[in-house]
Amino acid sequence: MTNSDDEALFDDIYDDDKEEVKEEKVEVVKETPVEAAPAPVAETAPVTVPVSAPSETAPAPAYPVMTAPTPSFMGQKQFQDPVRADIQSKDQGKMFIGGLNWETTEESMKNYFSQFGDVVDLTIMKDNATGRSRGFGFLTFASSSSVDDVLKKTHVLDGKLIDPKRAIPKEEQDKTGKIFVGGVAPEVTEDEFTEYFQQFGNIIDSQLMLDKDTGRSRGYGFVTYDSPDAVDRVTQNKYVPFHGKNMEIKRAEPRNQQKGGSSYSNVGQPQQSYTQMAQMQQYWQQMQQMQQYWMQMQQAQQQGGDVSQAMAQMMQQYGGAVPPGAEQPVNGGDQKDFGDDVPNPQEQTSNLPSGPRGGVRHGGDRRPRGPRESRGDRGNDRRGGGGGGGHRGRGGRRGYHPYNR
Amino acid sequence: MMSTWAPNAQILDQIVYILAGTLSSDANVRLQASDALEKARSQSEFDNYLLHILINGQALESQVRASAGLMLKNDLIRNLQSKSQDLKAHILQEIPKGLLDSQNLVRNITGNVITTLFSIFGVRQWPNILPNLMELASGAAGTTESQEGALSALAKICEDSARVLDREYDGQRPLNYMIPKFIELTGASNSKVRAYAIGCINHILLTKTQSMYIHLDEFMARLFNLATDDDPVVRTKVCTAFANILEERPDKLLPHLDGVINYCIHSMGDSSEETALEACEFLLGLATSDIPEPIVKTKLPVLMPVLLEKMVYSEMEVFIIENSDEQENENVEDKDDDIKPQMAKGKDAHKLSNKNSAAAKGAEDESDDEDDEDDIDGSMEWNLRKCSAATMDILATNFPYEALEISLPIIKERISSPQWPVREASILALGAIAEGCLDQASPQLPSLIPFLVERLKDSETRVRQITCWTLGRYSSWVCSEALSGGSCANYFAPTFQSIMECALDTKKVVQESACSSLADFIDAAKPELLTPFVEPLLRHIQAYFKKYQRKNLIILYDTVQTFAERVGDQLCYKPEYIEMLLPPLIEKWQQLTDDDKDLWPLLECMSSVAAALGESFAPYAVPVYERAFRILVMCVEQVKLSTDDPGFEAPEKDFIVTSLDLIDGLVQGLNTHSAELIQQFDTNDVSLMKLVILCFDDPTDDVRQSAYALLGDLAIFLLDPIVTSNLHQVMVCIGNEITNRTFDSTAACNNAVWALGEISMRLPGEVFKQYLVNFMNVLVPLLLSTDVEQTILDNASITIGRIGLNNAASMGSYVGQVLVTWCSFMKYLEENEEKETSFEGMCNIITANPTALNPHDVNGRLAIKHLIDCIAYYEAPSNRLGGMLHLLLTGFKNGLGEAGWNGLLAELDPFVGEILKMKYGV
Repeated sequence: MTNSDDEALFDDIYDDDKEEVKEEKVEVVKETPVEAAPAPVAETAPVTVPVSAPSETAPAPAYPVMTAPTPSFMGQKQFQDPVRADIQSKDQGKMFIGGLNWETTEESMKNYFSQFGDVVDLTIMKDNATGRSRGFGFLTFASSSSVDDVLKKTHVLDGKLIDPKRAIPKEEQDKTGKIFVGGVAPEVTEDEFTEYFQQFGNIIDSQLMLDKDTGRSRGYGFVTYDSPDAVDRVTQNKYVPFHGKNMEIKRAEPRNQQKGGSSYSNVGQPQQSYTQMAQMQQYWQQMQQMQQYWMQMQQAQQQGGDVSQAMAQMMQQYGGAVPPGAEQPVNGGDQKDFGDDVPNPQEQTSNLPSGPRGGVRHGGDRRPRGPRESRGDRGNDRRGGGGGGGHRGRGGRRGYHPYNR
Repeated sequence: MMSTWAPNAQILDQIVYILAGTLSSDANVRLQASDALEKARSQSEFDNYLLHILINGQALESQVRASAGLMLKNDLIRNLQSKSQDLKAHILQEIPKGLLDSQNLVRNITGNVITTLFSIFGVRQWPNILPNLMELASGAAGTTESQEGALSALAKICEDSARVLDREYDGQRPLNYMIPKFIELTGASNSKVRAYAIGCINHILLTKTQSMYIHLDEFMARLFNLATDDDPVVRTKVCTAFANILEERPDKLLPHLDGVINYCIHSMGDSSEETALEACEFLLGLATSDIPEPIVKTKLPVLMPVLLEKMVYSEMEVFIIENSDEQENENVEDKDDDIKPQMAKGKDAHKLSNKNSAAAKGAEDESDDEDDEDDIDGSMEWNLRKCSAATMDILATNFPYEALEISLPIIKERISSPQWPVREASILALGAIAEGCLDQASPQLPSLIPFLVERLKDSETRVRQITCWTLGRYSSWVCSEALSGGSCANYFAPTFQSIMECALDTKKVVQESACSSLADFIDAAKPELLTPFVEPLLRHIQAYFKKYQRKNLIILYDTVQTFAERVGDQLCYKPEYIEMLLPPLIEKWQQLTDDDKDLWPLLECMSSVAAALGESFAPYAVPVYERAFRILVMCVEQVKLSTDDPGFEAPEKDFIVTSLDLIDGLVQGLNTHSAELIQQFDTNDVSLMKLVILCFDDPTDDVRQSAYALLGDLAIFLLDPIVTSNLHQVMVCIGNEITNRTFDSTAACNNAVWALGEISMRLPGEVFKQYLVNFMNVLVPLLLSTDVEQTILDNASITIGRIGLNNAASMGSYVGQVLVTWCSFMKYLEENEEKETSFEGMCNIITANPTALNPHDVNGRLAIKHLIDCIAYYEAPSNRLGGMLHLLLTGFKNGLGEAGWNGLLAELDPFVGEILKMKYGV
């Protein structure tokens, strides 16, 4: 970063020799994944140069200068990691199997899937209290090619269409690096977006969310790098100015359980603490009922049968549609099946997140919004009222203005 | 018959004497006279005498006659019903004669009275007046003076009642004979007549009536001739006319637009200030209009330099300013006149719509509703400099590239001028274009900002003043450089430091500007940036409190409020900081009495400080709460009394508003601990909650807005101790507020809906259930309305979701009606606790009512799609919510089957499937 000597900075304001930061783009040489040997980076990779202090002139560029100066790039000569070859991992053969029939056992599952290869591990998730299947599970093949084979076709097991998927192993998750980017200026194009982030590392995938109707950016997107180091680099600054707005950069897949795009597909695995919460059990049960209702509706339709009859049966089974105002807890009677006393989530007010207060209400906002609102970087805050987010939104301050009418 | 009435000479003399007395410069005489007047009013023929004095009192002083006229007018306004038909007819018949009087004042007042009478009686009950006036106006009857007088009256009538003139009465529409006549009169030899005539048409233009449009071409032809009229008043009206036509029928102006623009640019240099100002108003209107940009763009190279020139203080202004600045040092106390009334907003709005009438003061009578204050340096009135700056501001927003390209060289050249008004104007210009040109100007800022910081030490007061403001306009750039670690990251410290010091300037106007600018910087900076400055800022604030007079104290309270809102939490638990900030605030607090309006900004400030400091405010909480409560009690009491007894004056509503806000701040800061505070002062007769409930019924929107805001916070922290005992009344009031909402009560309704959500989260399900149907009956239509402000819709969505937290089972029948709309609003909300809880509630609702969504039904399918889309766009739900969403989505998917699920996803954004797969494994 430039020196922190204020005088030197201000003294140079009339310095005609001062060159402005050149606006050339960084050239990123995308390297194709080859054998394990890392490409000779030092020769071909472009280098970043720290932004010159105003009192120096930028050197005749042998190396292109970055568009957006960021201090974290001081002194770094390479930012591209050695290319990785085929990712080897023992978890490459892991799969998640959903949509299982409640009756399906681990044995029948193993029998079925053995036709695709050796199964080294298999689990069906069960309800702890009742021992009943939850309808999904995990299995691991010895070889990843088995996974490919499974994915090529559809599967029916015990009369039910099941849904197998490749499970991205945790190590694999750590290997790629995804970031979410918010606060993107509306006129930024996908190309500009991608180009900008290329300077931090090799991009596997980059997406800028666009509004279907206008074609303009929705304000956020995500970028996938091939290495977590790239993510470290790009997330060094939480805010990066780009096209007049500050973009906010967040890791999408945290090493530790941080907020921001963490995967919720771990629900149901034993190590998650809240699966032990009785609330979730209750919730899960309600969910299943809905799921079954839908499945039955679909079956009725597929069979060309009488949908209304199926519905009527359903209503009966679940206590009927809820008429306005009437209280019909749908699974009121089933609570007892859990055995333990299930605390009614409807009564647990204390567990509600109390978090920071929202800025929705206009506590002291007595003045209608004036032409010059208090500025603030509230990217996605679409709340009305003056200066949302604070305790008190005031649209117009009583301050000095030379030409307010 | 009235016409045979003749005054009794003695009574006449008495009344004349009394009237003269009311005008005396001697206060005692005035007092006696007004007593006598009260008695005289009871005379049955009092009005006859007044009329006589006005119309027939040629021998009397014109002031007395005018006074009689005004009194008559007011009496008729107030007591019309009690007047006999005879009297009314008599007055209507006689009054026009006043226009023929030789005394100017009498003619004016007569015109005034006529206008008022016309608004009361209208064409139907006074069919003769318009023809009468038109006859005088045309000069066919009467004198030059009466012509002017009649036109003056007509101008006022057009201003107040143009629509009335646009109707048919017995097959005739007055405008149809008036407009051609006015147009003809624009060619009169008398300049005043010309001016009035144009003025009448200007008012008529604003009504957008077809009757005008058929004559528009003719009128415009006249205008082009009158553009070079000798009389400045006429020229001023011509500019107004162009501005009105631009607003109402730009298509008609378009073929001539180039010429008109040139004319107005040229007229900005008119020798008459008013003409120049009105010409600039046209250009301001042009800048804000929908006229295609290319047309305006071509004029910019000529227009902008002129604007920049006119932003310089005129010689006269310089003279006045230099005089007043010499005297207005920091130790000179502010006079009452210096301080703008607090609730100026309402007045400004009113002025805005009448800007065309208020601006041209020449030929028309001044509006007697103006609250003219003694404006020492003319800083409060609208003028050419301000209009030019405002125009520049808007042009910079619409044409940032051109604005910078054209104005920057000029600014750079003049910014170092030895003449301070030139320096000052260029710095003003720099600030004016700031918001529009921020991106384009960025390359210049690294050199300009330090230059400006230097100017904070300029020897000229006004240069320092404007520099503070301009730096404030660039505060967002300075702060974002610092935040992002840009090349000018280290500008923030010296800039902020210098402004802090500048706020200690010896001149009050500089203090004011610097203190405001400081607030701008505090707002623009993120709290992290301000951390190293907290202590110096506190020390400076202490100094400001010692130094500032009344007017600047008010600015200071605002700045301290901003400070508390942004970095107040850094003061928590730091007694050394708190002891710097609070004692001066408390000291001012103690100096003001309960009925002092200066209390308002102070109360608002305290409110934010209390909220920010939280527990740390506790030592001060008791006396602060006690006083706020006391004021509230007193005011609510007074309001009650005044509704029963019209003679009893109601207090200013702002006392109630600010004391409610202060209590709200305390509750936010002290959370559940405020229960003790409140209960300490509640009695059986008077309790906070009951007062707040009374405020729910107050007709003033601001009061209800603050009351519901407080209710929400009470619900969050003190539901059981304070609210539940009065629950029923509270619920009824909320229901009414939502049902009876108007355009103006948006904020109050918004807060009521929000408070309801907070209540529903914490009330036991069975208790809330009693009200559920009633509330949903108003919330659902509210959510689906098309004429409601977005913020209310957002809050309604949140509240409806939140109801599902404790009453999910009862919400099933509403899912179908609201889910699509709910999703469309929720999707874009900031991801905070409100969104989180609302989502959770909605998940509850859906799973508790499995039959509510039928995927094989067209509407059900649409709703599900919206919900899935909405979930995908929720970037970072908590683990808990994420888990629920995972289950919900899994359930959807399993219920639909792989094919059904994929089919559904295919109809959504491709990203949706990606995100769901990544986050939820579906």
